[in-house]
Amino acid sequence: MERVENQENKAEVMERFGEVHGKFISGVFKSRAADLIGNWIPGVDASKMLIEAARGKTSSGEFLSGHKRFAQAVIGGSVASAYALELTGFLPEAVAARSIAAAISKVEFGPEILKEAAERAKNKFPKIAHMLERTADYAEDKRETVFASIKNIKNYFSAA
Amino acid sequence: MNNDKQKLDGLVEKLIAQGEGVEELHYFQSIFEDLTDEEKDKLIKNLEDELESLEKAI
Repeated sequence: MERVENQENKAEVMERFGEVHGKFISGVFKSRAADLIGNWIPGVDASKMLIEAARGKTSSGEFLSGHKRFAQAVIGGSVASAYALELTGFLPEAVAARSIAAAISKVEFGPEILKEAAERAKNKFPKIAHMLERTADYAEDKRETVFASIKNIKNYFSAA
Repeated sequence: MNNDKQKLDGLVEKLIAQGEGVEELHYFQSIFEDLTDEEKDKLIKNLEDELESLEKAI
């Protein structure tokens, strides 16, 4: 079949929409993280935190496909939300002393970060808890991406 | 099951038939009820657009 100018093939469509879906889910997690940390925590920006957690390039600079970027967006967004949940437990004194960044960079999260964050959030933030639970299931075979997101967020807080 | 969820499920079925990733679509189904109404509308619109593009694609 002769290709009409500018006509996409299915793979191109799916690649394009992988990016669309990634942006959509990033927006959802950004909104959740921002709701948790608001504007009251100095030095912590929900958007930047999310961007760091969900960076879509590998350390070698290789660019990821639309679908891999989607996975990065989902996992990065949910890891950022898990950290945001951790922040809600900080005392006002720590916030006032602007020691948040230093304190949170020392928080050690392991591969079960999403399940653990979901469990902690169950009573106070049930909707976020449910999203984190579902994302934990999705991320079960993507542990490398979870580790990378945790590392990115720790670097973000160390530099903040 | 409300109308939005039915719409989503219908779209997912058609997108899977077009070859779209099952895992991503099932993830959206799993979190759908946790989304705001605005987010649900946006998601459905994105998926409708994708289906339309896939149906036109070669």
